[in-house]
Amino acid sequence: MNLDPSEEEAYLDKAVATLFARHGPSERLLDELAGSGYLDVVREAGPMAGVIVVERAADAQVIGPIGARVLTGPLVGHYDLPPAVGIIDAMTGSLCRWGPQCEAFFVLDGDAGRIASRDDVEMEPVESSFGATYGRVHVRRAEAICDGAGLRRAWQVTIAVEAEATMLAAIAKTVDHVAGRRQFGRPIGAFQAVQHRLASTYAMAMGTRWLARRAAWFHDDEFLTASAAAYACEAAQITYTNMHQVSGAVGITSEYGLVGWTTRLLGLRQELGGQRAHARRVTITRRGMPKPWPSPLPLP
Amino acid sequence: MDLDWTDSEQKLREELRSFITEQRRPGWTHHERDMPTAEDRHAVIAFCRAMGERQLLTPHWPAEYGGRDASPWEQTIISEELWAAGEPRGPQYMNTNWIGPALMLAGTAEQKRFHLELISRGEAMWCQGFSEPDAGSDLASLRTSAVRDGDVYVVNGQKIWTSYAHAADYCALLARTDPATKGAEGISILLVPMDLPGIEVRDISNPWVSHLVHEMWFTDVGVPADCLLGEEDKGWEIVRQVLANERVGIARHECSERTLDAAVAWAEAAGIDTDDESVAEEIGMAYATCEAARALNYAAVHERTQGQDSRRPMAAVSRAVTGPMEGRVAHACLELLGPAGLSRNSPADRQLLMGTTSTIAAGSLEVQLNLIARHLGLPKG
Repeated sequence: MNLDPSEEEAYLDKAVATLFARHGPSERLLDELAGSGYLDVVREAGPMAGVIVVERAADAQVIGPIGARVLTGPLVGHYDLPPAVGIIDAMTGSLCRWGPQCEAFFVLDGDAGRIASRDDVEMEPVESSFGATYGRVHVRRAEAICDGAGLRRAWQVTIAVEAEATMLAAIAKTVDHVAGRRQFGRPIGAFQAVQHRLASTYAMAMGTRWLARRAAWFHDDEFLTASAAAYACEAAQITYTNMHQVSGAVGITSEYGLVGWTTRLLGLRQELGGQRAHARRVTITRRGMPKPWPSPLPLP
Repeated sequence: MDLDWTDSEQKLREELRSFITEQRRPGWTHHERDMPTAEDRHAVIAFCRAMGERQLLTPHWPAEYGGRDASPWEQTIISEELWAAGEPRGPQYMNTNWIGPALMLAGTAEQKRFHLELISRGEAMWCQGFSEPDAGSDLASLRTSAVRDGDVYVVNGQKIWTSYAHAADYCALLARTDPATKGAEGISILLVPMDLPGIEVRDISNPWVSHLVHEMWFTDVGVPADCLLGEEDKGWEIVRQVLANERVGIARHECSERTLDAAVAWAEAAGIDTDDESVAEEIGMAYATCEAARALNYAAVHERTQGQDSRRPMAAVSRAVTGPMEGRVAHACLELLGPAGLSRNSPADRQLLMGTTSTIAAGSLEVQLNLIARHLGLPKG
């Protein structure tokens, strides 16, 4: 096991970080990514390359869909895609993050994974405060491309990867703030009550990061992919609460920017049935697994 | 990144599972790990000897000390499989993970020859005399004294919360050798034979098990001067380096996950509805947290493979998730099992004990959070 990025992965990481820094969170970025070939990195360099692009995009608060196009589709072997792709979990009435911008949609339709083009759906824009454009999608026609379980696993991975990078970005922003903001004669980040909120949240975010990466690597293992999504959802809510609490009133302003990450975290939590559905899936999967190991405790 | 186990690592895991099934005393569980009876101690020694004979006890040690320079990943696999099988090695994980390395780091040639051989053969048990009534998380405030008098150090003081003291052959004892100092200065490590006159060990009772932790009194104990490890007054630096090993030494994620498996099996045998959605959600979150702890433990092991620097932030990050994870698993087991979880042998019972202590022992959760705060660059208070 080697958790360091390969030379190729390190180069990719640096390149996409530079690209995002140059363009900021603009809508043009998606075209830049497509033009540079970064939307198709999984085909050439494997799932961890996709993880790197999605992490960097989340960190940069990219305005537009990245995860479904870069990671979810390639993990189910589907690469022939336009730049902007969304994902929904029902043929009718599902809310889609970035939906109004998308040119195609993955559809989790029970046991089937499908794809629908923009022309095959009706889109009803939905106003939202949750860090993305949203639309309600009604699919008229969609082509089967994979089994539903595979698409669900890939989506679980993508939720977890987007969430961990978003959490870590929100934490980094907050650490900067509390290190500089002075009250009672010293930086508020010097108070242990503040430090421990940040430290425990950071530990959960890092736990999500490494679990999400494992889930991407072993993306056929639903125990892992569902675990990653479930843990990501819990950590996302804690990150939202703790980062806003220690940031104070400035944290809720658009100008300050924290909400760009934190509201997205809560949006991610709602996808694919949310934390409770992921957790049930973890239990169901574990119960079905063979257990060829000694037990630490007496069995009935 | 490459997150796969190698073929040889996978083979080692399978070999260990077979070995445990063959060599573990029938019926051995985590309830026997503290060795409440003399028979349990004999079983541990027999198991460790068998491990030693097959070079499974210290494969990660350097070849010059009887190991084969195996990677920390192999050490991790051994820890996962043994801890999750009820730790039939007893306290050997402590010997192999940090007492042995401390001896390699600072021991004399004679200390290395004598102790490392005993440890690698599985024939010695150690305890660690660290905490005192007034020196827990603030370990460097310890007051047990060791005064040089000719060929011996005369030790006086009290240690507390010591695991395995009732069964140990030796104690890695922290004592203050320079009475004029406070804090980390003036502390030494003594390798104390536990059969010396003047050492008294008492079990500290708790609702779960006997011989979980002990008090030790040292009254005018004459410890031979050649039992000093490293330089006099310079023991803290050794402790600082080896405690990083202790922090990632136990694969609690694997054990907790298998405990959840056992709890589900108990529930199904008792006719409890494990399909209930709220129960499945609670159990699922507990499993997911085990996997987060596993992922962080692997990140901490990876960090360890990158160098010997004892400042390893991932060790603290890992522990900040792993400790609360054990408590969460305990409460999930209780929720799942209901009244059946209250029986002494239930999966919930032992897990609750582990979940209660793991955020306290070997550096409390709050200490880990302080370390993470330093890593994040937050200002000191």
